[in-house]
Amino acid sequence: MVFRKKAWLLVITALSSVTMLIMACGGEAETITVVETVVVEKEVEKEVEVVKEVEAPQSDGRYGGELTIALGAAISTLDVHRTTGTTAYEVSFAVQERMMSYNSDLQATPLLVDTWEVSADGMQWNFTLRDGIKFHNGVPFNAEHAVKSWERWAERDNYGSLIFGFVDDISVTGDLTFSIDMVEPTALVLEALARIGGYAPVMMPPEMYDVAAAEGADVLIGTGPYELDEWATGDHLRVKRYEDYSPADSAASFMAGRKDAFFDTVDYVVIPDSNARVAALEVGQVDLLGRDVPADMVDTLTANPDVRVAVATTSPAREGAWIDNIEGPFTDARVRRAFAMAFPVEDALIAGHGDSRFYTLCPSMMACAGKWGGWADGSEGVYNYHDKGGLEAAKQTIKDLGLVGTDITVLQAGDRARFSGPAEISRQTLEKMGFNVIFKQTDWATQTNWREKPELWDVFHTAGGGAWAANPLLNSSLAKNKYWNKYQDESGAMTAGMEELARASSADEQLAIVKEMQNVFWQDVPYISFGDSFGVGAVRADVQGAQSLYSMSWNPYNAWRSK
Amino acid sequence: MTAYIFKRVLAVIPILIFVGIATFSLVHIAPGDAANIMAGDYAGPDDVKLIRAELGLDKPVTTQFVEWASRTLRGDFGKSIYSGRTVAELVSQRLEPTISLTIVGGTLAVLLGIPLGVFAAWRAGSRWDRGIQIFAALGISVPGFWLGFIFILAFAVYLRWFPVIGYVSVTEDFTGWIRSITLPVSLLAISGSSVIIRMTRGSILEVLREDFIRTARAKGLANRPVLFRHALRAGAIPIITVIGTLAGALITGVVVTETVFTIPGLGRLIAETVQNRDFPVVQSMLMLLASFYVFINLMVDLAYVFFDPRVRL
Repeated sequence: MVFRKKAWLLVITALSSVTMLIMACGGEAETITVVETVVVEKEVEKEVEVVKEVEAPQSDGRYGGELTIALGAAISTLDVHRTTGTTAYEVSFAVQERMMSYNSDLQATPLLVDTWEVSADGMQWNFTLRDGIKFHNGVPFNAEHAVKSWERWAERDNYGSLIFGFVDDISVTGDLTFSIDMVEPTALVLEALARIGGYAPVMMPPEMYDVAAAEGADVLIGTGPYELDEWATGDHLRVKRYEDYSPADSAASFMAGRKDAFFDTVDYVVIPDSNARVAALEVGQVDLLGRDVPADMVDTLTANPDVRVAVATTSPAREGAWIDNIEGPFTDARVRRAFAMAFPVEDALIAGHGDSRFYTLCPSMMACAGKWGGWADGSEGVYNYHDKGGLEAAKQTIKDLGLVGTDITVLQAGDRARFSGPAEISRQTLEKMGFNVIFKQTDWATQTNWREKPELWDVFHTAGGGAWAANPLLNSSLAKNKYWNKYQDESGAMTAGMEELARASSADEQLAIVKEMQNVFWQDVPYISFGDSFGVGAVRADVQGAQSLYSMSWNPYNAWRSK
Repeated sequence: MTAYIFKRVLAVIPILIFVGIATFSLVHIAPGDAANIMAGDYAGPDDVKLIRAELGLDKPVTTQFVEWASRTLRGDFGKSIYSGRTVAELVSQRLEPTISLTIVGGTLAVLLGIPLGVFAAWRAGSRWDRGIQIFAALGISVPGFWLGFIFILAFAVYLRWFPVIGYVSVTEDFTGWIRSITLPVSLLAISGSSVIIRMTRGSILEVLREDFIRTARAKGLANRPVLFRHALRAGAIPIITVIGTLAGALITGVVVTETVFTIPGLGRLIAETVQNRDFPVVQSMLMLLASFYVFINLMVDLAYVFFDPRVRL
């Protein structure tokens, strides 16, 4: 009897082992044991992501294979004139193109445009498009497509409404030519054709631009190096190489120049959980995490020789506390300024990002990494001043204004760690100032709804990246009554600065205006700006040529897998 | 019996009407809407207003309810606010992974749960019993998402036996299918079997004290027929009830499992659509789940007749 029991146990154990072995050895396991020599980058501290020119292919050795990119959230729509969401944007980089595009010096350079000229008085711009470009549906790209796509974009985008304030008329003058007549000159035309951030001014065929942008087209057609292959909503979107792609002649540089689709296909896979995304990268099931590598995972990934971590110091976001400018105590600029004086910005950045590799203190209105940021004008005595007398001064202001014990509602989106930590700092700061804080903990979707109703909140936390963080003209929180903070600009100085900036013709002039606007910013405090924060991405070490383009969206073109 | 089934099917109608009203109200009471999420972080009030009007979300709730109810009655369950795909399309895309997980997970839970439960009852108070009870207690109390990550870390990242994410269709590659469902199915089987073990043990223990069991033993019947032919059948009613409940729980359990293992099934569809406030899909999915629960309950009631001849429907 004992013997029979033991025999059964042995049989069961053997069967289980064989089953496990069959499962473990099947499928992919046979194909992953490849030893390769890879370049290991172990240094991550302040690793600067250098924007390099990617050379045109010299051989066919780079072609082939599949690139798998992990997305943290589902692609909400195929139409980037319908959303400013970053996942839709990321896919659009592979499939659609702008007329002009930024090079590594952040100059707008021709992409679908062949040549352009502007009249001496700046009142007329003439554009000629490149010949031989076709949409993925085979329709040749022409000037009518260009104008209609651009107009559709302008209806949605705040930069679009800004630039169209300067435009008198746009006329199609030939199959590949069009002209823009201005009401008054501005240096922003080319930037508006190349715009990154907000809504994307990409070129579309009639199947897309004939559908109202708010409704959203349900197809994705462009002129880019990849075309849509399959979209399984909520799960993955696959693009494949567009064989009739007509690349620009110039050398590849950041978003501009020649684009080569080395990978046969690029698969954007939605992996909602950050731990699963990191694990999938570690085992090679995905090749690239564009953003949202959790701070506590960075060291683990850095130690992995098969993975390269990239901190996107060249495309920062601006974190901040957004303040209700039209209801409650913060309608008074003195109270907003007092809050800024008392606010420990570094504590908030640590609470949101873990450690100093992922942020820099930056007192300017715009991102320090951008061309219109990096100086302290106007911030003295306000920015990060809490332990230098700022908190005491703020308490005195609240006392003098008779606001001690007044209710202040702070929203905390618990599902976004990057914002929920700083919300806690806001709560503590406001309590120290003497307010009675009502702390509403909720999720991001609820916060987005509540912020529409000024009576439901006084402070919430968010961030803005890309051009939004770098260019005051594109920062809706600085525009009067435009964003959820409903900045009122009582003195009119910020609005005047914006108008002057739009008309400025030289870089020096623009810089002087932005500095003046920054003084107004720290006087009015439409929101509290903490500093520059950097997204953390990671890529398999054998993937070459991939670089972060915008808000941690990476280029799938001009990237290849080393053999 | 036929009249009973007919009556039960008719009873589904008021249940679904109630569920429809309740889900519609809950979905609309919850703060946040698709317009805000669709517009993205950089969009301002004007953008959101425009999208809200385009989606019809600015209409009074009563108007939206009447529109939704009349569409649903015509068999049109609407389409996703985001992708524009019909609910039927979305469900059919996501059905296979969920069916795979629930059928395999549920079957394993039963195959593991009933024998272990019977064994624990038979050896009540022994080390085996205590061990099985500890397993069951852990299976019920350890959160599925935590155990899922431990599985990923151990079997996918370190040992590399199974994939971290994804699902391979059974029609595409059988071995790949087995590998892709092993970890999530194990998770479902552990939690499911734990419930069954506890219920089976309790039920069998009670039956083992009955006179007819003592009589069977006195007649010299061996342990196996006593346990499986007499005790298990007599104690089956509560076990069947718990298995029926489990079938429903498996469907909702896959919400966590599919999210952790990135499997594109109905569970993840529910999680995503709730997060994105994709009202038409959420409403239809909840209606579908409610119908499923009602169907399972009906099946459980019918099963009583088979296992207990005293029950007359």
